[in-house]
Amino acid sequence: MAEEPSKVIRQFSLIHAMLASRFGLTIDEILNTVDGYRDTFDPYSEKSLAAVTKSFERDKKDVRDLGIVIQTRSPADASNDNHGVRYLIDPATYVLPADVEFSRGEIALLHVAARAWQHGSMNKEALRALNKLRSLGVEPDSSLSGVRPRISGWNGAVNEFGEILSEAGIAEFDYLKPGDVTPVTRHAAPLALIDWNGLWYLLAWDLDRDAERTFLVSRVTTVPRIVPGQRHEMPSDDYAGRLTAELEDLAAQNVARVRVVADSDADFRLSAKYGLADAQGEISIPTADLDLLADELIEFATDIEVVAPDELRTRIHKRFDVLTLSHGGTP
Amino acid sequence: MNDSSRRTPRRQVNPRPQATDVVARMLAVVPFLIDNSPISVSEAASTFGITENDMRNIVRTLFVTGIPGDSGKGLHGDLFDFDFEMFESDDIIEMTNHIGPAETPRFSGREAAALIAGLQYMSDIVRDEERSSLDALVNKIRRGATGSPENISVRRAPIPERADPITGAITDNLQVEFSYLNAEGSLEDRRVCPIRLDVVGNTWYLRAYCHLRDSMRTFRTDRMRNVVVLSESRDHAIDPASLPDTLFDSPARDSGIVVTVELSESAISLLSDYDATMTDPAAGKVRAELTVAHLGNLRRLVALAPGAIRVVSPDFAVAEVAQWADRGASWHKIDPLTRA
Repeated sequence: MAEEPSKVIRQFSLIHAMLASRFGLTIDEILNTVDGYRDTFDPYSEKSLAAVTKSFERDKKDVRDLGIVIQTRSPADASNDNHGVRYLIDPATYVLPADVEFSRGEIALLHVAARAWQHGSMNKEALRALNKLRSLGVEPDSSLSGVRPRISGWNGAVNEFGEILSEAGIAEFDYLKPGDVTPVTRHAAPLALIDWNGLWYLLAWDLDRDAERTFLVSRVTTVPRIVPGQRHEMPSDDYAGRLTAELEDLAAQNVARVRVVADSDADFRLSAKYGLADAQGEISIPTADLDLLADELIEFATDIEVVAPDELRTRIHKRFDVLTLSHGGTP
Repeated sequence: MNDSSRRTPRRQVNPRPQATDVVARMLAVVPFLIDNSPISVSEAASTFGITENDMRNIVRTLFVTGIPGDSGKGLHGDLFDFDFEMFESDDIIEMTNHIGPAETPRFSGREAAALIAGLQYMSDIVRDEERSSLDALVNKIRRGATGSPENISVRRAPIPERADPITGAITDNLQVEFSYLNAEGSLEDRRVCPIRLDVVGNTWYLRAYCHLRDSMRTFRTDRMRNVVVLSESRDHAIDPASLPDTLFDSPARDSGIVVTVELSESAISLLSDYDATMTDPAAGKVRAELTVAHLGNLRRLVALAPGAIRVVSPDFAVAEVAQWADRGASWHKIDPLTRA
């Protein structure tokens, strides 16, 4: 099962000890009584004390990462050391509220939603949530067995940004703005990650520019890394909802017009996504970013013509020039 | 070529579970066992989708776990206890004493975010009249979380209007008929038994038993027209859960065209739909060998990331892509208003 069975027992026992204690446990009590600590702790050795205290600090972080709220109570005669601090988990904040109940249909929906996460850290979080749903003992009904959604792209840079977001850390990464030739190193505090129309966007506070910026994650050219030792205060705000609304607005204001060859693949697929072509064979396509739209359209090649804007047409033919050149032709 | 350098981008090595993952699983399993004791090891294991051995290990770990009681020695009331005899000889878990809460733990903020974003993404399969119950469900998840859900969201993947009747046909076990634009660009009438709708990114695929081809096929719903739900029931009962996530069978090497492409490391994920074999990495670039059914598929692949993916062999495939790109370039250099 586990790599480290002793660590499993130690963390599991620690959680239950803190849950069972009405007034909280001091660090001395934990080290001397909780399984996994008491059996390795030698109170007469400074070195042992330091090692066990360190593993307590790490366990505390792991437990909090599971979403478990550990309360701390400081003694009234607040001296400066941690010695008198008591740690406890309030069972009321630990278990699901009694009125949160799920029907079999809801459980089915949640199972499908959790399984949609395919990769990386969100897959892990979703599976943990799924285990809690299973724990309720409510069988999903069969209504959704015929649906299998899969969220793509939570890997690579997106996964790293996700980790940095949950740590409230600062990310350092190279970013290539469209039209630029070389990427520029950026420092930003992630605020939200959203998948909008199949692409991942990062909303972040850009520390170099001292302003909020939106980054398209596919334009990040290095593996984002966390700046060591730096954290920021994460304001509680619906950043994801706001970024989504901004992109929707932007797309609604910038509508491209594309003429499609009747009954071509372009006609079928673009009309399925953006609505049927008009009498002139033209389809209106809302877009938040002309480069992304150009990327989407080039596979249709000569089955489409760009009516507007001219800039979109330019970007498409530039892409074909790159393709011609990289395959030995002369543009 | 060195055989050890071969790897497929699709396969991911599953890391062994970390101790904290096992703890998280145990915290979920315990309330279930409390509620359902006595229960067989096999039933408990299948509820959580783990092996029977993993479930036995959880029980064995619980056997040796307790909380510090007044004596600090772990007296009976401070321990998990099971009917040892039943466990060892009959593989049945009968819990005779437990510590800690008997209810399921709350979700963490990130777990809640994963569930809520997943619900958002698939919200189009929920019928309009059920939309409000979806909002209620999201609220329940929020109330059941210890922290506010993190700022992670996935926009709804809209189902093409024409394909909408299929969701009902699957639930009602009915056959459907539609015109389909195949990969070669011609229209065919298809009558199928719909089994499952797969949504990947923004694209909805229908996995169905096709009567024309007499086998399982995958259809893009945005290439369908005139979708009609028939009154005939499904005549092929296939368990949707038995279908693999791979949407298309890769063509066999001898029936397709084997091509080599060169791409940057960052573009590897674009090959996830292809059964690609990675070869000789060199200076930030990777080469991959894959089989395509026809050259049209190759255009689609290079178009995914112009400049980042390059076909390097065979020569006729390179030339085909170059010609296609050249035609595309000349076509889009001209303003349609000035085209004769």
